Formats: sequence, structure tokens, C-alpha cells
Amino acid sequence: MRMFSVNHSTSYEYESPVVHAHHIAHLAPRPLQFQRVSGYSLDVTPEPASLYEEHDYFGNRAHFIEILSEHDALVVTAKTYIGLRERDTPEGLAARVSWEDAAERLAADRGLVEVSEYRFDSPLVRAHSLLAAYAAPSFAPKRSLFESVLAFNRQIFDEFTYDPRATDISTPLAQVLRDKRGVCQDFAHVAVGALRSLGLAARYVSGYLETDPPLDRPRLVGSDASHAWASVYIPGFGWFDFDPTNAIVPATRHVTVGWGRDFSDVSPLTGVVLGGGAHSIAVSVDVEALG
Amino acid sequence: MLEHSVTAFDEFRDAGGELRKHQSLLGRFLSDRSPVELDQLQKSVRWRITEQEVTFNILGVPEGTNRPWHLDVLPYLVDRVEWLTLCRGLRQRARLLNEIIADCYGPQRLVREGLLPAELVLGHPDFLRPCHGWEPVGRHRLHLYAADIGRDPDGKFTIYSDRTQAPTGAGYALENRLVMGRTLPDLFREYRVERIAGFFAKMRRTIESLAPKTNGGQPRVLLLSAGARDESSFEHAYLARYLGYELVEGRDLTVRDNIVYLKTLSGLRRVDVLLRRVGDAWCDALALRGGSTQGVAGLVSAARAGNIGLANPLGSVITEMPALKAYLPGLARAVLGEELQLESVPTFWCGDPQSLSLVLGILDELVIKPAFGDRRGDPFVPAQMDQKGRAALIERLKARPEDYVAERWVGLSTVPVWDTQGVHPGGLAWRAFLCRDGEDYDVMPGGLARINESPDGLFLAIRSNAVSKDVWVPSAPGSAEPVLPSMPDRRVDLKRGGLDLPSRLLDDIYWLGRYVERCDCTARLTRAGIERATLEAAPDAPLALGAILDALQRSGVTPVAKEVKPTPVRGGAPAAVAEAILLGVLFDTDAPNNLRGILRRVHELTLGVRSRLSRDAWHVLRRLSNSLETHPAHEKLGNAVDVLDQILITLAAVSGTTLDNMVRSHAWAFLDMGRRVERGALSLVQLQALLPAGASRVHMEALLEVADSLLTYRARYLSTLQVAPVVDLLLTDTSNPRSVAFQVEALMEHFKRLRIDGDVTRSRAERRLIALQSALLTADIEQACAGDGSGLRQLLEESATLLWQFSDEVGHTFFSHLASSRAVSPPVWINEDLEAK
Repeated sequence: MRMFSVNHSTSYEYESPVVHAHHIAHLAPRPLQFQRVSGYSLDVTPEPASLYEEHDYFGNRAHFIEILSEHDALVVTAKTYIGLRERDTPEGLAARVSWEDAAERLAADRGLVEVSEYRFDSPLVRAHSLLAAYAAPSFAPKRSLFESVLAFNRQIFDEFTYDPRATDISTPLAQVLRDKRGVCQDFAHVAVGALRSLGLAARYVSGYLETDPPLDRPRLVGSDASHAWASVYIPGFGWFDFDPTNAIVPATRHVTVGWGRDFSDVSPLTGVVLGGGAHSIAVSVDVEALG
Repeated sequence: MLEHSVTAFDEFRDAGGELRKHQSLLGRFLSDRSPVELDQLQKSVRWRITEQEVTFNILGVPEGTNRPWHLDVLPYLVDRVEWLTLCRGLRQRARLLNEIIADCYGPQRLVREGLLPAELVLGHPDFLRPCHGWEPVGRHRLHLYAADIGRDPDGKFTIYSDRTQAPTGAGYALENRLVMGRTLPDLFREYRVERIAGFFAKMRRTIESLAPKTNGGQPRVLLLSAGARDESSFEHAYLARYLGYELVEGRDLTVRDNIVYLKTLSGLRRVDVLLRRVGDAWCDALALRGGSTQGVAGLVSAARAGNIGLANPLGSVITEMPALKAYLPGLARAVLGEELQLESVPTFWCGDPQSLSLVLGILDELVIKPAFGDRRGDPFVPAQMDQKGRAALIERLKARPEDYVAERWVGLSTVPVWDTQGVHPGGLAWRAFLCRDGEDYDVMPGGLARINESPDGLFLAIRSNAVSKDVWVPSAPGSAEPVLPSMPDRRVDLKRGGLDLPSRLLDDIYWLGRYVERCDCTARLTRAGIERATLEAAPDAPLALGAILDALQRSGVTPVAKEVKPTPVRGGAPAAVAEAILLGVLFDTDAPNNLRGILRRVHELTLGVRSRLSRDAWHVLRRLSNSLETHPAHEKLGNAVDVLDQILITLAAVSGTTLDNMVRSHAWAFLDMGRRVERGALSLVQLQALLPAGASRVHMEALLEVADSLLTYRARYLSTLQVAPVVDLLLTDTSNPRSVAFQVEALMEHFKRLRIDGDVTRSRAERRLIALQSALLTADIEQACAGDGSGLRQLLEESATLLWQFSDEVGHTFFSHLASSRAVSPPVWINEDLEAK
């Protein structure tokens, strides 16, 4: 098992004082078969009037924060200790099921109702024939779903350019698809949208990725990032994660925080504030391998 | 099939042409009266409606705000036996929908067992995931329900749509009933019309039973409205008044530690139940749709914690989707173990492949709607579309079939409708209202009927001047004599001192006071300007014109950019530029701050505080805000004076009704404070503008005229116009109700009464007032006015600064917590390392 510590800090600075604030944080990693969460703390400055945890609809850990003291800056810092094991990958029959058969089973099998909700449109991802057409080269007729997804993972990586200046959270999927530029969140959305457009079930995964420092330089604290990738449901196997930003299959370097239909279900930190005026945000993430 | 065909069911006469038995009273009523008499009755209906100012707003149409409501003089009579059958069906339907909502937000058995397609629940854009997995206060999911009903050619009642979120219309039904009871009291008694008051009493009991069991005593129930711009804002206000609940908007509320509070001047007051008229998804910008300002952040958590009752609970919109109707018969069997008693209009969800091919085969017999329901959009009627539109529709149906639902509209029954010519048949659709009553539902004996000239099935999404009808149900035989309906006396909560009023209401009232006064000052200034710009004015009058235009500009009425110094003219025609500016103050439709703009604000604020205004005050304020509506943009200066005179007379009536009739409550104090602040500030502006260095007699005359103090001055000083006495009268004379000092004194009085011991912030505003008062009292006016007048200018400037500071402090002290909360955006992705890949 590989051990990590993750330190994720978000700061808001407000132009004028905020007198009352409600926030919801999706920052606590959920325990999983391949992921042990051995320590978690959430620090909020200023001191919140109330702070409690609840599981959301998707089973993610959500923290509800309320602040009553007047403040012009907010800092939310989540610290986690995580152990990661190797994940299973599809084999045998599950690795061979064609993507068409998978789509058919998802539509017909009532035992898959929980999964089926990831086939439908969500606030930020709407199925579209253009998305299906984009994925077509990877999804050849009768090809296995597993193989198709691996090919599609590569396809997005090859054809899209990572460009943090090209998009923000309000950029529509159609524009991302047209310009072929964006960040991990956009690529995950493209993957999820294309799979759904083919009748498959796909979800959005929010988490962290351990990154390597450039060879000749020391690791810089805080230079990592929160990360996002996609997951597809393979009948007979279950959810299979893939990371189109890096064309890799998540193993022991991807820390899972939670998942949902798209970003809007697992936004790391949202809020509604009274007052505040304009604001600026700074995020710092540090993923450190321990021993 | 969309026309009222000959096959439509005639509610009035049977197939043999005979009057139906229960219609005989209406038949006799019609034959006993001449067209003139009937038209007279219709006119009195219209008059009563106008008197109540019943309006509805049409969203998305600029001219669509506050269209008048139409009510036909002829009621829709329902046969008692048919009514009882219908009620059984409606109650069953409500029970069924309640169970469906509960299942969707709970075990989701119906989806699992294939009785309801997963797309329609888990793919519903307003399936509120944060509301899944817990039970709301009051256990049930549907407390208030309404159904839209038509009768097919066989006379069978058919449901067109179900309203389960925040069913509107009961207030309009109530209002129609009050008008009809007064217009046709004899017919009302003779038909033994069953009262609807009992239904509303039950509704109140049901709503109040939703209060969490945490505090004894009378629960605090509020009606949550989206505000004056909501299409049914009239109804919200009307219903709130009838039920005795305070009308609030989202920004009146706050959630702290999962408890909902009302913001009042005396602090936060816990809220027990919200009768909500805000759509599901808009109720909580934190947990639901971000960016909504209609709701209150944290409401979902408060509901989940069991700290607030909601009617209806969040999430109930899900059963409004048109596609659900296709599955109700099977669901009734599975959920209730009963056959569905009331049929829906034949409905096909296109997401089902078989339904889709059927729909494409008989497209011209159907109307196509969004599967999940969108009341704003018109349904598609393929039979009426051109070739191109039809092909595009088919394309959309094939591309995203799950987004559409097809309905086969079977046609509406006809009833007699009165118009000025006589009686003609009209297609009838109506809405019935139910409320939870213990383990079952109670049906309002009545309803809201509408005459649909082209039956569109969107009974309350009003886009035409559709006529409404009152629905009369006869009482059970042997029941007591019917009582004519009336509006109950409102419980007077002002007795509690009024401090429990929503702060927002007081803020609106304060600003109403300011805008009313701004209107007064602007009208007087403009009138004085126009009189000096016309030929009939005294030869030297135009000298003051430039100063008047300067005053208008300094008051913010006319834009600063404009050239305001007209060439002074003596006895000749006024300069065109002055005329244009003055006419613009009245008639320019694009200037936000001119008189028209001020009246628009008066109108908006009046709507917002309607629940606190007496009927007379409401009428006179409405007349004021409508003053310019009837005048086209191209007016002449001569007419403008008449218009301004009329506005000033109406303003006098506003003062009269508020002074004479308004209880000396906090509402009154804030209205008056608004007026005093504005009058004080604008008087200072006028003094500055109209007393330039070397001010002449005409300047002083204009100033006194604008301040309505010319007579006082003449009585006191005869006709010698001198600067110092003029300034004294308008600035420091506390006996002149137009002077600045008088306003300050009045404000001090208000503050004394509003003061709460130990409140530090309040005293900051008060200190400004004291400073202003002493500056005015200690000023040596003679000396200030001597020399080049720089002493006077300094005094005026200092006073203005203190008054504006005071005004800011008032806002800060009382209303700073009223700003709308807003969502902050989540962090954006920053990942420079990965950029290089």
C-alpha cells in the first residue's frame, strides 16, 4: 500500500466584508475498497459557527460550514492521510462485452437502476450526437467496451490540448469539443458526455493526482492540483476509472475524493455569502508520498 | 380537433336542446333579463375587479405586467352528483401523486419495478437529489394540489395537467367568488352555492400542522413569494391577506444553524412554516440551483433537520411532468391497488420506442410538449405547422425522444359566456384545488374556470385576455342557508408594535416615502420651469429658468452631460433646448431618473408593500404611478402643466390618506422618515441652485414657489423679497413644514421612538442629526447671506453632507442585512504541471 498526505487549501479574499456565509465542501476522500482514509481534518478560518458532515446523494462526504462572524477572507484547509492499493481491472467476460451490448443491458436491466442515472443528462453534461460522433473512431462496431474506453482515453489525450486559459467552469461542453482545449475537468466532461451519448453510463470523479517534480528541481509544496477524471460502468465488472488528461488508468497515484454526474455534484467548495463584493480565489494542493 | 367542434359537450343544454336540470336557474336568470341588464351586471363585475386591482403579470413581455383580470358575469354551474364523483377521483389522484413523490424521494421502488421509466425520475432535471432519503416535517409530500380539468365530447371529466409544486389560482378563485357573491347575491342564494371558506380554514389547519413541534403557541407561518414581478404576485398578496400570513421574499429570511428566521427590525424571529410560491429548484442557492435569489440559502438543510414545515415540501414538482400521465393507470394499480378513477388526456412519452412510432404515425392529431414540463413555452401543434417546421420537429423527436411528450387533446365542453353582444358558447377548462386533510384530501367546492378561445391546455399560463369564471357547486340538500362570501378581518399584528415586520418591507416603505417626495419636488420644479419657458410668463421670468434647470440636474433628474444653460430670453419664445429638457422630464421613456422613472419606482414599491397599505392609500398611490401612462411621448408644454397639476393634486391625496388614515406604526414612521430625508435633501439642492451669487427677485420667487412657501413669505414680509428672510423661511424656520429644520426635527422625533436602549449603531445616525440640527439652529442667517454669499453656500454644503451621512447611516443601521445573498463560484482549476504533459 502506498501512503500519501494530501493538503488542499482554498482561500477566498473579498472586496468588502462578508457578514454571513454558508459553504458546502466536498474535500474529504471517501473510503473505498482500494483506498484507506486514515486521517482527515478540515480547518476553517474564521471559526465557523457550525460545521458538520453528511453523506450526499452519491455517498460522498460533504461538510456543511456556516460562518457568522464578519470576515473578508476565508481559508478552508483539508488534510488527509491516504493509503492506496492496486485496483482490479476487467478480465474475462467483462473485458470482452461489446459496448453495444453493454448499452443494451443498461437500458433493459432493472437491477442496474442505480447505475442508470449516470446515463442521463446532468446540469453540465448533455448528450449530443456530436459527442457520439466524436467518440466513434474509438467505439468501432462490436468492439469490447473495455478496449473502446482505453482507446477513447488515448484519443482525448492525443487530440485535446491542456490549456488553463481556454476555459472556466462556465464554458459549455460544445465549445470545449469544438476548440479541443481545456483542463482535466473539461476532458472528464467530454468523456462522460460522449459515453452517455452512446447510451453508456459514465460518471465524473473528483480527486488528486500525485505529480512528479521535474528531474532537476525539488518538489514544490502546493504546486499540485485537484484533479478530475471519468469512470464508465462495465457490466459484469463495475465502475472502471480512466484519466483522459494523462491517458492513463488510475492506479496508486490517483486519490479519489468523490463522484457525481458532473462537476456540479462534487464541486470542492461552493457557497452563498451575504456581502463580499468581488472576490478572488487562490488554491494550493500538495500531494506528498510518504515513505 | 383543436376547434370547438360540433361534437363538443354542451354543458348548458342536452342533445335534445333542453336545458340541463342543474342549469335551469341560470337559464331562467338569462331569460328574465334584457341584454342591457346583463351588460350592466357585467360592468359591475368589471368595476369590482378594477376596484380590487386584480392583475396578473405575463412574464417575458415588457408591456405584460399587471394585465387586468377578466371575470364573466355568468358562473359555471356544476351538478352536485357529478361533482361528488369528480371529487372522489380528484382525492384518489392526490393520494396517488403523494405516494409517487414519496417513492421517488425514498425507496424508488416504482423505478426499480419498471412501473415508471428511470429517465423520468433520475433523468428529471428537477429531481432534487439533496432532498432524497429523508422525510419532510409532516411526513406527506403533497399538501396542496390542483388539477386542470376539461370535459370530453361525452361529458367525461378529463385531467389535462397536475399541479403539485406550488399550485396557483386558489387566490383568484377566492377573489372571483367574492366579486360574484356581491354581484349576483340572489342567484347565489337560490343555487345554494356551497361556501369555499371552509376549504381555506382546512388549508390553514393543514399548513399550521406542519410546524415542527419545538415551540408551543401559534406557529409563525409566512407566504414565500418571488416578489412583485412574479406572474401571480397579486394572488400571493391576496391569499396572504385572506389567510392572515405575512408575505415575504427570500431576502427577508435567513437560515442559521439550520433554523429559518425572519429578519425584523427587532432581530431574528423563528419561522415555523413556509407556504411557498417559489419553485422547487429556486428555493436554496446553496443546495439546489446556484444563483437563485428567490429562496434562502440553507433551506434544504433546515428542512432536513426537521426545523421548518414546507407546503409543499421540496421536490414535489416531479409529479407535474406531463409524461407522468402516461403511467398513472398502472401506478394507481401498483401503489393504491385501485383503478384510476379520473382519466388523463391521452398521453404518450416519446422516450418509449413504441410510443414514439405511434406518435410519428398520428402526429397531426397530437400536440407535442416538453416531457418534463415547461409552462413558459407553447406546445407544438404539428397540424398547424408548415412543412419545414414539421420536419424539424420530427427531427427533434427522433434525436431526443425522451425530452418530449405527445398529448391528444379531446376538445373542451362549451358553456354560455356573456359578451357585450349577448351569450355565446365558449370552451371551458378549469382548475380544482385540494388540500391534505388528515389521511385524505379535501376538495375546494368551487374552482377557477377559464374560457379558452383556442384550447391550449395551459390554463393559467395566460397569454391572452382569457376570461375567467367562478365555479358554483350546490350545497348538500338540507344544509344551512348559504352565506355571502367576504374577506375576513385581518388579524392586526401591528398591536405587537410592528417590530416583527420584515425589515425588507420597512426598507421598501422608507424608499416609497423617498420616491413620493422626490416626485413632489420634481413636479414642482418642472412646473415652475415650464411656466417660465412659456410665452404667457412674466417678461423677466425666464431669468430663473437656467437656475431651475440647474436644480433639476443637481437633483439627478436630468443627466449632467446635457447642456442646461439656455440663452436667456426676454419676452420671446423659450429656447428650444430648455423646452426639450423640461418635456423630457415628463415624457422621455429612456431616462431612468426623470419623473416617469420616479413614478415607475413608486409603482414597483407600491406593489411590494401592498399588504401594508390601506385600500385608499393603495388606490391613490396607483393613480399617482399611472399619472403619465395615458400620455403619449409627444406633448406640448401647455399640456405638461395640466399633467403636473394633476400629479400634485394626487400627491396631496397621498399625503392626506397617509396622514389621516395610517396607524402610527413603524410602517408609518419609515414612510415619513423617507419623505423627510428626501424633502430635506432636495430643499438644500434647491437652495443651492436657485440662490446663485447675485440672485435676483425672480430667483427668490421661483424658489419660494417651488417650496410652496410664497404665500407664507408674502403674509410675513409683504412683497419685499430679500435673501436672508427667504433662506430663514426655507432653511431654519421650524414652523414652516417645508423648511429643512422642520424635516430634521421630525426625523429626531422618529428616532426617539425607534431607539432601542443600548443600541450603539443607532446613535451614530442620531449624532448626524444632532449635528445638523445644531448647525441649523446656531447659524446666523443674516451674516451667512451677507457679502458674496460664500457663508451661505458653506452652510448649505455642510448641511447637505450631514443629511446624506445620516441617510447612509439609516440604511446601514436598519437595512444592511437585507442585501441578497449570492453564490460564490467554486475554485477554478490551476494545474500548471500538467500543462506540459
